[in-house]
Amino acid sequence: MTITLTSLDNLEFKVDKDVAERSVLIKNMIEDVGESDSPIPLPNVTSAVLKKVIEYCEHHRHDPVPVQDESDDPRKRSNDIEEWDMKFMQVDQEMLFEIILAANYLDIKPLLDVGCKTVANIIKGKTPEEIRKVFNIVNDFTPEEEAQIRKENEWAEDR
Amino acid sequence: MDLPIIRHYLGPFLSRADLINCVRVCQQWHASFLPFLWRRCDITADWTPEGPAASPSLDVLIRNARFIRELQLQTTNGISDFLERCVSLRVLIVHGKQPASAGDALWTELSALVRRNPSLEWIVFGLYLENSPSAKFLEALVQSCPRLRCYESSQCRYDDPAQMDALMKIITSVEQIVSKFEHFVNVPFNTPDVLPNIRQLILKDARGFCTMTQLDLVCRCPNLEDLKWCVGRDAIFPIQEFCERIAKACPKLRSFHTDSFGLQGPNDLMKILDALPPLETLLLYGMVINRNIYTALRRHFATLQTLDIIDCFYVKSWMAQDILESCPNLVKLAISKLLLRDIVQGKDWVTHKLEDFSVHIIADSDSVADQWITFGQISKLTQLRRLRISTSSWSNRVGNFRFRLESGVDQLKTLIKLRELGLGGHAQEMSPEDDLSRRLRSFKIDLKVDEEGEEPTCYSYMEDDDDDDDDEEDEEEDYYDYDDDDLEEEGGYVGDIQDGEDVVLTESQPFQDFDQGDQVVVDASLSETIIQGQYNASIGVTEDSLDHSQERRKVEHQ
Repeated sequence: MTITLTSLDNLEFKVDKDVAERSVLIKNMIEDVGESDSPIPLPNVTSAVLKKVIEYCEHHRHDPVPVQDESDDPRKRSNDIEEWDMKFMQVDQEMLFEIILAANYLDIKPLLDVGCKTVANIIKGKTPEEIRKVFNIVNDFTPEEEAQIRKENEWAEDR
Repeated sequence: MDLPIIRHYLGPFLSRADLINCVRVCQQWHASFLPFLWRRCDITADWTPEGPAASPSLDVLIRNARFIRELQLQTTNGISDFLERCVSLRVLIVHGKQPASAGDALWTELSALVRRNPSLEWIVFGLYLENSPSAKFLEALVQSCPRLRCYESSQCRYDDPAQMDALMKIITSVEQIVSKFEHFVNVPFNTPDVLPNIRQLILKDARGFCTMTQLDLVCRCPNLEDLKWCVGRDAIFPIQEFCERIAKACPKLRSFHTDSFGLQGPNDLMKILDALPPLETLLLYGMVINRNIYTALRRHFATLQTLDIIDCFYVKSWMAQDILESCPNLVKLAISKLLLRDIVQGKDWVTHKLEDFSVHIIADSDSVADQWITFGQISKLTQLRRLRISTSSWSNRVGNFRFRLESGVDQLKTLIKLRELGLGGHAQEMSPEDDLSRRLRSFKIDLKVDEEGEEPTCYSYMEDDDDDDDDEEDEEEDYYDYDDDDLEEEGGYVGDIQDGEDVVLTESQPFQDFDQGDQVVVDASLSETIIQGQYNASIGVTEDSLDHSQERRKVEHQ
């Protein structure tokens, strides 16, 4: 069975049901509405991003459904991204964040994880100044404030 | 990265080192990432309110207390103001000399703390036998922390019946109990008839806690999945009762871990393995694995996912090869030795799910073809994350297992998930062309290579983020020092026996492994009873009477 998804900019995408259901949001919508031909509107997702998301879901359509992790607490690793996913995530920063937001909105946990791991790997090992450069962030601390923060968290450095 | 929600999801993926940098980037990042940085807090024994550089000062602690979810306290001096503001704790660990000597004052403070932290899930104590949770504290814990899942206690001393009553209430409600090296002094054990919540139980070296009563406790846990039971040096493992009761009492048992103390005969372990339900995890420490025991072990091969017998004795190379040929579900294997000849003469390995493999691979010849075949077998283990291959330092073997192109190391490029490679003990002669690190780097993997050779050729360390997992095991290493020296005193350990060498039994070393056709020399000091009592089950000593003079006998298996 195919499902039709409509993006923010009114483009329609036809996908197989099992691919669409990688998104828990869409899965629940389908269950609520029942068998129906009417397209599902996704006003929060542009067509460019939706295209990428669908590509991800199609590649991973046969993956086992992830078990709900009860707490968001456990420290997670970021060094185990599959090769296909790594290539998939080689996009510009703006698209990367759009994908993360879409994965969050559509409730596709594995894609959200992969997106976050990708960003975590960008941040990894960088000094604050390097991080600002990569993400175009303005430093709004005074030098005194920054020194204070550094001092307060110094204890964590060796742990 | 403007959006807080992205930063919120990102937090758990960042290492401590990265979080320290992230909080300095800008105001927004500071607000988003500070809670993640402060999720874990350790107050070390040398902490003072002014805080040396290595520790946060009291002010800083107070300001960030609400973020802390895991708190480790090695001192409670002067931190009351801080503790008052800890309200989000999930994990509380209290250990060290200072808490141990703080007496009742500690428990008053901690009672107030647990009352404030209803989200507490895991509590750990280590108190050097000088202190133990008061009855009032345990009551407060039961009443205030309904989500408590795990109660872990090391070296506490229980001597108050009211304490035990409160402890029983805790035992009834949690899923996981850990008790190590504890002393129970003249206290009753009134455990409820059934403890349906317990999934994991660790009982290690408890004193004053009769082993039959311990067995009773175990058998009252019908949902038990994971059991580690070490009765300690001076106690007796109730082998018969255990074997009779365990499978029926704990049908869901899948994981078992024990050491050799308390077992009387060489085949006790065989009886245990026969009595247990089909296991997924088996960890054995300091035990002799003879043929009978190995046969009993085979019963579990279809279901075994984790097998760690690297610190057991007389585990033969053919056993390791047999395991690799027979255990399709194995994910983690730690075993002492494997000769190239057994790999080459054996069948293909079926352990394709193996992720963690520790073994001493011994090159018993210089044959390059043998090394090729070996690398070929390893290359099939495509799920490997961790591979540790080393020679045991005390044996002198002919030849080296060479990680060189000419030996076929190139085949290992199939190991795309490999993150850790240990080559301890191998002296590697490498030419610039087959520099191991360069080869492995070209496999496009992020690797931590650890070479304990004379001149390490590379140290490319990956940041080790996973230190959380090993804490429990590290703690044990401190208490248990299994030196080679200790073991020789025990009389259970002998150096490795070379082919063609005689097997010598003496009073101090009565346990040895030998095969059919081996010549066995019986030392005059060995008493008749030892031979008859313990060996007739597994060997047939010929009827040429057991006189005590030294003579050569042919030993045949019965």
